[in-house]
Amino acid sequence: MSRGGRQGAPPGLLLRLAARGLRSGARQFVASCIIGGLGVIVLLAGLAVLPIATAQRDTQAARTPQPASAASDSGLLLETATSAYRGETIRGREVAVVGGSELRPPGLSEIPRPGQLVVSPALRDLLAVDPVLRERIPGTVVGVIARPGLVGPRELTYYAGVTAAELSADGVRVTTAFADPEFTDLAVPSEVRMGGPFISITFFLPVFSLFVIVALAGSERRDRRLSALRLVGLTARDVRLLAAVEAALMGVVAAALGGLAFVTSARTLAPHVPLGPGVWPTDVEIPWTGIVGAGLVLPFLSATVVDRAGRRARSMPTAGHAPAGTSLRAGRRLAVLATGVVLMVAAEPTRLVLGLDPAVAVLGLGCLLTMIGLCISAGPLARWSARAVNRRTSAVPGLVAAAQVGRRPDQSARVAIGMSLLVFVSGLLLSFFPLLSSSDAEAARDLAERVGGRAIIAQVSSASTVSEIAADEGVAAVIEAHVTGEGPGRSTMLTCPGIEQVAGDCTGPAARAVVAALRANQVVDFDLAPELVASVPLATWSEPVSQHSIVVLPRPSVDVEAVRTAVLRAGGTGEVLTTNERREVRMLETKVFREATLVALVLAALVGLASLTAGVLDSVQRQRRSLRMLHVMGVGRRDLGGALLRQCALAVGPTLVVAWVSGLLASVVFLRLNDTSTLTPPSTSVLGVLAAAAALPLIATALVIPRLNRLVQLRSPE
Amino acid sequence: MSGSADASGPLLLEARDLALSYGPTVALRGVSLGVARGEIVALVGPSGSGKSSLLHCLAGLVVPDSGNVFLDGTEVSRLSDDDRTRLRRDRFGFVLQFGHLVPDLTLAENVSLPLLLRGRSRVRALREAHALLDELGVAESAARCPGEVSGGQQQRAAVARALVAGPEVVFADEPTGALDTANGDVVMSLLTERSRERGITVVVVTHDHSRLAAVDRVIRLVDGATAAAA
Repeated sequence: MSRGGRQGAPPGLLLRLAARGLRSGARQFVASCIIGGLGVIVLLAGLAVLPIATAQRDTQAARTPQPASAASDSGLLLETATSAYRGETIRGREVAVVGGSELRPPGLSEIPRPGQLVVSPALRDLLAVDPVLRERIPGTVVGVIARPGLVGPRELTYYAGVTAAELSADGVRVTTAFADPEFTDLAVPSEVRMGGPFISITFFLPVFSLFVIVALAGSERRDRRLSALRLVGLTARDVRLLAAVEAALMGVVAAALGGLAFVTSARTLAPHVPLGPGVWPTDVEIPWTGIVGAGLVLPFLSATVVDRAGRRARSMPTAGHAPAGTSLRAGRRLAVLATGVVLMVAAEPTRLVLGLDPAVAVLGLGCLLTMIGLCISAGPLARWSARAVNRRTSAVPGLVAAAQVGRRPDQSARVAIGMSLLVFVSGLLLSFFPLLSSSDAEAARDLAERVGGRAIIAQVSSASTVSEIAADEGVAAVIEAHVTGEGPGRSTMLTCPGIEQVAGDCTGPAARAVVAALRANQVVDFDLAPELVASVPLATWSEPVSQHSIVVLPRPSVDVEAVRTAVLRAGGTGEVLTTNERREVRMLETKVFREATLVALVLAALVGLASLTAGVLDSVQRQRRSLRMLHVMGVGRRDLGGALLRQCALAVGPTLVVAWVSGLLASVVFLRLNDTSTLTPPSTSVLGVLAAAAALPLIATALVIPRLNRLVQLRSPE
Repeated sequence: MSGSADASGPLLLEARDLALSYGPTVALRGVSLGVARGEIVALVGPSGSGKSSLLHCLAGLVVPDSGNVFLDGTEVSRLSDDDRTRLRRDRFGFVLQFGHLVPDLTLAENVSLPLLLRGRSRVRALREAHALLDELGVAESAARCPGEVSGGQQQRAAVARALVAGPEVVFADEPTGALDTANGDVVMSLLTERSRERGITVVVVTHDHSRLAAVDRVIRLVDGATAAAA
């Protein structure tokens, strides 16, 4: 047929055209790369969380003293006294050498003598400027704890030298080694393991959605260009290749930018992470696999997205004669969503029949399909809502909005994808909260509610210490809690949830009597006969300890720090914390998780707002001729703004509602799989996220109104 | 200038019983016509009469629902998309209402594209493009992008792009539709005169009867059919 034998355009020409396309759309290219790079940074940060948490756990395990199982005449005597100062936890240890031992805790080159301190760098800096703290922790600083002994660079911790006699009097056992294998085995808290990837996804998805929106912005111009190239003789394959190369290049640069930014700055910024004691640069592992993965996946995804969006321009060289009635295949798209929902529902029956692991897999697959379904169903949902509005409204803004969304449902609904994923994932994320609330943190909260947040709890080993503390003028009362035993890693104070746990394990009249006594005495002041305690079948309880707990109630007018200093000076040890601080320490891990979740949600909402604004802006740009025409016909700017807002609402609203419902469903199923069906799903919190997400279109429209006004200005040249 | 749908000489382009619909809208209903080599034919008719649809079918831009289009005896409507693309590249030229120039290339680069696609070196292609742009009176804007020049200059560049590679047929869809009278006259005369000089067949869609003086034959369409059949 043809006179020439070549099929496609010369590669050199394609490259030149690609380069020219990128140059002419430089602003958009740069914006896409920056936004994509941001998404990659978030993804890599999410991947780095687990190794950091593991490294911190390892450090904690390595410095945990191991008391000798039998009597030993060589080693260290160590007694912990954790306190808090101005919201920061200070972890102190009194230390004394026994038998000329050479044993050293990690990070210490020498053991301080009585009256001397070895402190963490952060505490050294604090002591240098704070006389109140110097009074609390008296002694001469003779050394600094090195990296191996510190979880993070901002950790406040110290070793205070005392005489061996002082600690022996408290019944402290000799430590002959450091490093707790059981502690290491605990590895990483489950919430970090489970929540980290979700937090990362929560933020990454909206960022990626914004990347897609920006990458597709100006699609009208791109389509014009591609169809012009088709007209002069580039094949569909040439044009497809051209668009894919441009988009993939965008993805490669974005991944490279994000990876480079992470590699060069992660370790520098790690000490300044505003969570907990900060992060040691050496604890940050560069997730090279993640960088390579992002470098492969991001170009592929961006090329795929652009490729799908440019189908019309490829197939229609004139790009103006598309056959009518382009099908959205709504049924197939909604089938994916429906399959996801059905799988989520099927997770619980799966657990009953096949066990927990298959059920978790089914839930995971259901969540994945639901998220994909939300992405691809946004268009049909928007079109249906537009049709419904079109039938019912006669107001110009509503009609204009319904017509626009109805004509380009997929394009209009693109802005909804990121936010709907956010709402869905938040349902799962927030369901971790009720799970975590059932832990020890909740018990500590109960205690705080019973004795007041300012009450200080400490350990004492003698009645004289109690008397000394009670004599302090700032102390209103001291309540003794004569504890008969304690379990490893558990609080010595039994609170209401603790009592219930004991009750669940108890059988026989003697044990029931113990439980009854515990219940009657609630939190403090229980003094039980050893034979009754022995009848409680709690294998984890050890033999009775010589120390017992006290609750010190400061006078209302007295500064709690002054009372704490008095308690410490008198010889109070253990966690010398107020009940509020105790609760916070118990909640530390969950607090970090909660804060990280909330930060991720807020940032994701901001990114969602950015993506909505970019989407609305692109939509305004695309509709500028018709908007101006409407303005010429007498439609006011206020009505045009109203039409924009309605367009946004029609495109975003239905998908958001579906995301909210399916997110709640995922949350309920997740809680049930965790045997916590009695807990309430976080419907209110997720509703809050939904409300915030629904408010975003309003804000995005408000941000775009000035641009709209400029575009429809009748005197401005087109 | 005749008003028949049949050409007087040997046919280069022939349509037989073309039918085309866009959903419920019927664009063409059984249109047949022939165009001789070197002939300049105008398709005229009221809006919605099917002029552009017919042109797009003849040029292989749209495949008709039924009927056949032949170029030199080869059935265009049965060719694959790639073969139709090669046809456009090697044997056709186009001038559309809004130019359809690539927005991020200069006018010279736009004009050189068909040559580059045929394997011409860049330097030579640009030289030829510049020469033709000069001939058409837009040499001073050759280094500018379409968005930076007037509609008339864009259309002259579109004419240059259509002619530069020496096509057998140029299809022009309302080439003066977006231009004022003066510019429209210039573009139309450039298109017809240069085509006639080079023996190029032209099929032009227009609704402006003042442009018909330069064409050899006028085919009138009404409601998707040629006027005689309508």
